[in-house]
Amino acid sequence: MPCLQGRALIAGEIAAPAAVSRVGFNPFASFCDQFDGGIDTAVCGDPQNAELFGEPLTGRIVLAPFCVGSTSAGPCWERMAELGLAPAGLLLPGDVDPLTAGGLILADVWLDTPIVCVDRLGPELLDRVETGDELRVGRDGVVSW
Amino acid sequence: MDLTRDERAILDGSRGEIPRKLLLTMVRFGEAMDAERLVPVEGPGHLVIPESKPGVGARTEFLESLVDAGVRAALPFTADPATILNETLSDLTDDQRQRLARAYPMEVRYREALTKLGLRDAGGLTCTPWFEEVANRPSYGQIVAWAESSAVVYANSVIGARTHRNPGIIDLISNVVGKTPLAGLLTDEGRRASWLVEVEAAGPINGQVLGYLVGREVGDGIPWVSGLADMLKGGEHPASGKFLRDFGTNASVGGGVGLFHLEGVTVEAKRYGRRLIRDDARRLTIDEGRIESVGASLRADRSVEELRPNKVLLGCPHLTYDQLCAWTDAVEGELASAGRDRLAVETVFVAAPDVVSRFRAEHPGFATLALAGGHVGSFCLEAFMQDPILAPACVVTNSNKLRYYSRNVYMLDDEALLRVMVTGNAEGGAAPSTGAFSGTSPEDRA
Repeated sequence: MPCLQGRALIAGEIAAPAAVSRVGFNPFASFCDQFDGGIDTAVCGDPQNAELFGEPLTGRIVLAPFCVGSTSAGPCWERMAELGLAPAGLLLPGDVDPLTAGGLILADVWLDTPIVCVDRLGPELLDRVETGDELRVGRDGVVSW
Repeated sequence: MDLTRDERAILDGSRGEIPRKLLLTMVRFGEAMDAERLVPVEGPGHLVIPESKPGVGARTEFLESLVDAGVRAALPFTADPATILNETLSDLTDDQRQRLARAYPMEVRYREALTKLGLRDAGGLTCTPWFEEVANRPSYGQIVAWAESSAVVYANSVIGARTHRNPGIIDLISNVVGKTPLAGLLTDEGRRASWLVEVEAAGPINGQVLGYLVGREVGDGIPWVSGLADMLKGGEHPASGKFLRDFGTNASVGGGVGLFHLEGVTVEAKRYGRRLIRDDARRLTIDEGRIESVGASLRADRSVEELRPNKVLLGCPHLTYDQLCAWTDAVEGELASAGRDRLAVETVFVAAPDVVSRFRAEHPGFATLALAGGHVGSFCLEAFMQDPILAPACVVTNSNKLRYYSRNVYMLDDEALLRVMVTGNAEGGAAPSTGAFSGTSPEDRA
């Protein structure tokens, strides 16, 4: 079973299908028209992300080379966690950026709703995983499929 | 991370649950960035969470829990523009006002809580807190905890202050805790350039286009950009201020740039020279053709006659006092030339509340602009366009940031915008951009 080891920034055990973006993932652009809730599943609403636009993201594990977007990312991640609409996890090949880290930490500390995040998985992450692959993430930061 | 004895005691709950969770948030934020330790915040903060809208602001209950715990920032902070609830847009219908009130049921409580936590005053609600009228301008080298991408990149790059690109809510927590992680952009090593970008273009360059292009290429890296010092006359050219604001804003839009160095122009680039470039910096060359191509891609892809815009929005980020005056003068002149006394398309200019106050008090064109149907306000154009209750069907602007974060927003040159405002058409002004500005638009002169 192939696996990669990274740093468990928000630790947790999850198993879910992958949603792979090969361009920067913009959480605000993806979720900003879904902050009112009233839906079962959030879909990627960022038209500039051709791979994920329209893909359901709730409960899935998002893979992206990095995250992009504005400093509104903090409340954005927290809101999606509050609504129960957030992805189950986020996997990154390199270092997590401060905007993403802050948003995920807010959801974990203040809502007790962890969105599992493993970074520093290496550049091969995005070469070896396809959208729809079933992934398992361990508390130790090991990702397997 | 190295924590002090006091910090460890707080994490053990010595001061209660709210202080424990606040400090825990900062410690974990620091650990994510491999911070050595937490260091004191030395100047007033700037926050990106001015309104109660879920997903954009903090949860009102969260703010009130901090107030109840006796938490307050030691230094009064500024924050991004307020909601449109108190604005007097002429075409806002009663139905829209009622729906807005229902959409922001917590707004009054939210503002009260934010004020108790240290919000300076309503004059400080702007995305340009460093303008002289607002006067939240950190000093060189000062450590602050700011959010709002365009403000962060300006503070770091042009002023030489030191702030992380803090996400919303983390910005507030940093300022009420009074500490921020020592890592990344707060350290000498973390401010060295990871990209060497050589710009090879002869003519004037549009700061928005180049910034966006550089951001797309370097992501959240730190670019050292050469080839602009002559054009900007080492930062002394009258248009340098606008260029630097445009470049930084769009570098953070296109990627995630929190700091840039322009060779021979920005403060640390002048002070330290090429020692600021890391040995392993990646290289990128940008020529005139690339700038022209990207500039054209940002421009409206159809004529004004096809677009039939129902609003012109200007001020993302907020306009300076000089820009507001220059636009007003230009509108007055264009109205006179066209023999009109009313604008053909509703036009909104936004600037910091203190800038607008000064404009109203000092510029005689304010009355003319108001009589012609122009609106001068202080709300956030991005939030306006993202609000389904408010967003007009078609907007034209000169802001790539507004275009990027909104739907149905199209970019035109300033000259074309002026004609659209006054006559409703651009007379060919929507042709693909060359990516260079003419130096004759109202904003170039300010």
